[in-house]
Amino acid sequence: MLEVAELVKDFGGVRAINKLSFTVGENELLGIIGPNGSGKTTTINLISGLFKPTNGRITFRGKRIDGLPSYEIARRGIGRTFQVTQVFHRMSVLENMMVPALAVPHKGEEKDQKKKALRILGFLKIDHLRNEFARNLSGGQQKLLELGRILMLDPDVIMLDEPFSGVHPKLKMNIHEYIKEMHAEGRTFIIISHDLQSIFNLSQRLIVLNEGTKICDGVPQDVKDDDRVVEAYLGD
Amino acid sequence: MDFFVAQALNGLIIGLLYALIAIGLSLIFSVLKLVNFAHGECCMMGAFVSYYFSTLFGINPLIAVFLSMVVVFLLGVAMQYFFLRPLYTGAVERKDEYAILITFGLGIFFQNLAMSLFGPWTKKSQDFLSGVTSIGFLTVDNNRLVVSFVAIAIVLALLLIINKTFVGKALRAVSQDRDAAAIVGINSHRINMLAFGVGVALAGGAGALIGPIFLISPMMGILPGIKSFVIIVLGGMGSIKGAIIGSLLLGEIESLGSIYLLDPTRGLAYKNAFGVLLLAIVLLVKPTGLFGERHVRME
Amino acid sequence: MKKNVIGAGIAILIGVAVPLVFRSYWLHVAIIALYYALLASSWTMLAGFSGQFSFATMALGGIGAYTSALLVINVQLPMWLALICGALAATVVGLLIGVLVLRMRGPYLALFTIAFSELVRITLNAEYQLTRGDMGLTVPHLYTTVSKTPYYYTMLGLLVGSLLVMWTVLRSRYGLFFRAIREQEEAAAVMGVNVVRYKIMAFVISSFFAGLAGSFFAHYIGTLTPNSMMEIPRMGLLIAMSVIGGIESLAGAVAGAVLVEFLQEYLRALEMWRFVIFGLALVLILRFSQNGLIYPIYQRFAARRVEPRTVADAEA
Repeated sequence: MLEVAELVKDFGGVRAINKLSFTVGENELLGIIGPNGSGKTTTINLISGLFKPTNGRITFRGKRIDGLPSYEIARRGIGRTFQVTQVFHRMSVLENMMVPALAVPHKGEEKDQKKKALRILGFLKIDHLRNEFARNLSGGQQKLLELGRILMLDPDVIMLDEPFSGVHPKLKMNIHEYIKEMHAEGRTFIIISHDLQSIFNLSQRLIVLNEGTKICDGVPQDVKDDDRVVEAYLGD
Repeated sequence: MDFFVAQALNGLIIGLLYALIAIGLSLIFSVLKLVNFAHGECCMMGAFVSYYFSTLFGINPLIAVFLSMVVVFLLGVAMQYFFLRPLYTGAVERKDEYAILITFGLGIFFQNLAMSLFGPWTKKSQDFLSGVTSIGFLTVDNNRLVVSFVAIAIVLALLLIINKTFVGKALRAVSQDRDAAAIVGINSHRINMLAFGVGVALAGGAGALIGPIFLISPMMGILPGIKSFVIIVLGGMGSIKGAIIGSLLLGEIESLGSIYLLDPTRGLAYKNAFGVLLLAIVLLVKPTGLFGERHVRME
Repeated sequence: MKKNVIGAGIAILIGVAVPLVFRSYWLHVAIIALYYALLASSWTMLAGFSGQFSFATMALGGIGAYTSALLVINVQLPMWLALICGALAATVVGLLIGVLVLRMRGPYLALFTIAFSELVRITLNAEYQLTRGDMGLTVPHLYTTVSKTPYYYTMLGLLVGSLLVMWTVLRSRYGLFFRAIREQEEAAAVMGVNVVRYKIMAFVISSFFAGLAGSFFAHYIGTLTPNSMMEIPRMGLLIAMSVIGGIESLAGAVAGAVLVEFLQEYLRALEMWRFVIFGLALVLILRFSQNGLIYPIYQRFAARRVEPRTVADAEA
């Protein structure tokens, strides 16, 4: 459903992404790994429209989305989180949740949206914090809020940038469960993580990036055994 | 042609004064990562301090320039300690917002303070050196010559300090990576204080040098302040080389533009608008300036 | 919610009663206070809520003032139409600035708007054939009566109406988007918020009310000079008003403006020193209580963690 073809992104003279191509199928759970600076976050930024590609195409459900503004891409059903959690600090938890609900036109009645927000907060077990300022939440709670906020968009594709970093081990297990549940509902996932154990565990398929190019693409077991991957991680 | 050369020379001298102010602003930006919206007012304070040193105590006006730089340096250190330090200790939320409002507020405070202490009237400082010097067909006011030489000397001394001494190295280290500098044992609070003090002292020195050429008043800092913003945006935020080139460029544009572009009566009034217009254009076309890097947010 | 309405009601009642107590001079002060209250709340909406720290509010007010005045003087436009044109002129200029500063963040936006303000001031001074520059432009008064009472009620009406509009906007989904953009522009964008549209919207609405305040002021005060209207220290005073009130509250901006304006008159014996005090108050409040003086007090009494300010907070 999501197709990235011959994607190129230059920053000044530096080529961050070099002719990257991959596809993501309906309801797939795709992991992207790679060493620091290999272009993982850049890829997500390109798909979500925060960066404009230098070259190449991104297609979602058969329509080009590269070059579209971020809000339009979000409205078409691609949601994402950030590596450094980005909640709206001086707004309440519920207000955070209502931003995507009200930003996307024809989402339905405001009242229903609010009920939905409370239901999602309940699912993530942070509904007791709904009137708290987001900046007063702990780091883990903020991660959950960010996840919940995406669900308000009701996206088909959810891209998570380092969902396990800096998270308490117990919460990490919870996030695993949430992802699995949401995946079972039919959503497609793209997950970036340094936490190799988690990502090998979760993903159905893995893409390995190095220096802006794809060096490996396959089921986790094959990727684990691939020489190029070992070299990329351990080399130099 | 003669007139053209005379105006070009004028532009050069003005440009040198702009350079002092703008380098100060640039130095502050590169180390503290903030724009000092009270910069023009520090320039104004320098002008008044030097004026009173020479008129009340009879100190030689040239020496008064350096004394006023010391006073403004101390003022800057105090400003940094009481109002800007919290930005780096995590005591302030919404850092960008705070940095803008607090420096702007300090500027307004200084303007009002100067109005109260010194009165709203314009004053003229003592000459550095009276008379004129003739070079060929050119006749130059001696004050302007002295100002040019002093300004060049201060800039050269500063470049020497930044490039050749340990302090300069520490300044550059903090400007590049505050955390890494802290790891190698550089006290970044002290460096902030130093950079801010030196930065505003440069503006103060420029103010003191302006005194004998133009008139001084509590509102004199607003336009040089804005122009130094223009210059560092033009030259790239935090680039000292860019600040120098930008200053000379703006000095020339103002001097030559006001005679060639518009009818003379309005030309004089619009002279100050050139810089502002230039700022608008540069900000729109290339907000990172001609030589600068990307601007980093504080948070 | 209920408390807010009661509070606003009491404030309006006090406002209506003012001319019964205050006579000529102090009534004049009250009118000026309300004028600043409108400017300060328009700034608060732009800076406090949408996070765009513009220094152009006074200049936009000045554009409104001069547009309206010049239209009445030179084109003999009816007064009410000129007032609207003044506000619209500021709106159009505000729209242009809003578009131009889209890509600018924090200090760049501040720089640009300071520069813009000076550009307007310089131009108005330079075009003295039209504006009479620092000599002062004599502007026809709104009413033929010498009494200040009608002006007072007009200004009060304008302020209450404007606040109602701004309050409605800020309580609606748009207010929610403004604040989301202020907090995290990119996060708002990937949550489906059309960042460009709402940033410009905040600029446009704020500029309209600044222009409206300016146009009214012109036809009340009767004499305009570019310097007294929009010099940078004026903008400083305006920001002091908003900051003292609390940067994230319209009511705070109004309270701050009224407080500062009345103090300013009350302390006249101190001459320029009173502005030194305001300057000092501004930096000290910023330093020690970033949310202002008035708003935190109000919040303590309201004793709630988060105020029900937007659609999102009402009970589901």
